[in-house]
Amino acid sequence: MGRHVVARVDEIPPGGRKIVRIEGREIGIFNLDGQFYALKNSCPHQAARVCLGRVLGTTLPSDVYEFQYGKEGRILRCPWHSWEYDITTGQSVFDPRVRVVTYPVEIANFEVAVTVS
Amino acid sequence: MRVIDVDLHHQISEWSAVAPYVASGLRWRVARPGGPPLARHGFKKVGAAVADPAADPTWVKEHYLDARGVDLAILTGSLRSLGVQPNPDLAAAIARGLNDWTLDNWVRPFNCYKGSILVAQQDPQQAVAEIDRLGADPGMVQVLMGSASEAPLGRRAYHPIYAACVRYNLPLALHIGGEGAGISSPATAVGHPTTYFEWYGSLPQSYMGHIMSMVTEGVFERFPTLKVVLCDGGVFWLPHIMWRFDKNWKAQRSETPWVKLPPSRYILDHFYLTTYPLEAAPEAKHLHHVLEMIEAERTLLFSSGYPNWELGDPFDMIRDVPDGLRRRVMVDNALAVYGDRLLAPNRPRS
Repeated sequence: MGRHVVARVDEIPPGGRKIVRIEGREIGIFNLDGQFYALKNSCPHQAARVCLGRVLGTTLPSDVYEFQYGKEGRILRCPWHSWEYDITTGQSVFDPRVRVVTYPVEIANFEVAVTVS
Repeated sequence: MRVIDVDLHHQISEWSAVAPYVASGLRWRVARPGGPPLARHGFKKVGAAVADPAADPTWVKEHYLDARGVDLAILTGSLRSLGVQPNPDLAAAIARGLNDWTLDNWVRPFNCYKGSILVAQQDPQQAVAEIDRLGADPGMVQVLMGSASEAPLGRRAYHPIYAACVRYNLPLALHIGGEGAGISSPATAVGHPTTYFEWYGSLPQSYMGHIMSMVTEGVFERFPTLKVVLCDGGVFWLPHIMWRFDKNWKAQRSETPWVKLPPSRYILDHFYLTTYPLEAAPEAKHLHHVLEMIEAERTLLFSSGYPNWELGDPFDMIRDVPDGLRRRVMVDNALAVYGDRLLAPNRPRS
């Protein structure tokens, strides 16, 4: 329980990530263009280490036979079954109720801190 | 209203009776002895013998409808392979001729029959023209195509047919039976079956393929009011494809971003199933489970498949349908699918 400093800001450059362990659970820290996000390293599908997956974009909902690729760099794809999650919310792209657990992140004194409740 | 039968296979007594309804340029091909040249799959003859019990509308009314308490029947004919005939112009001409023959001889002289606009999908343009020609006729309550097809029915080439269905607020009925004939793909995913037994048992594969295709190609995103009635295919296979499809969609949706809902939602909102021939589950509870899975209280329609009762009596077949569902299956669901047109008076015979 509580606030944990998990990295220095310069350890995780934009587009980068770091896997940390806090209170017995693994958490992935992601830097998206200077904004930091913390996601539990567990896919809600079958508990795969989702934070090890590729970070990319996805096709946005569109009209039939149209393709709009978006959210580049914001989508985390689980390495086991390719379920995709928005890193900024933890929500899956197919159902907002299906989500990776997220944790609040603070930046202070060039340090990244995660609060686990 | 006691019973509505959505799949009665009315038959032609002889092709020479249909020939006058076929455009003059191709009439000679229909009028010839034995009827028009039709590619067949080799398992069951196309058309009917003269003495067939489904070839006389008055006889069928008396001996089937009146005898069994059926108030209204939708006619689906007996030519399942029209959409896979190699010659699209001959197929379209036969479709037009059969439609007019049906209106003139079955639908308009009676108030207990409704017709289907038979179209041959290998030429979508002529299929659309036929829907435009007859789409406003109150005697026609649906568009009918064989599920035997040159290609999966979600392909964009077929979309104008669906646009035409929606334009006239007509459901689309598919009927198995032409699989393997003419320009059809083999009747099973692994190749051509050897016997009628094997062939007929395999036919729901067609529906599985078409459902997959229509959902992934966005047919119901483009045509949100389109309804599709799957005749003669049973029901037990549907939960499998719904839930396999839903599971895969979560990971694979990015390929078809217009598929915005879980596939089972499109399936249950747009497809309707018929009772003939309902699978013979050894225990009633098996059927009850599946009926719950497929939301049968909305999606299941009574059909007789008359006169092809080689698989059993269609009323006996539904004995295990729960009482609470029976009224919906026998009457209410058909009224909901086909709407007011089902009860509208037919135009007088021309």
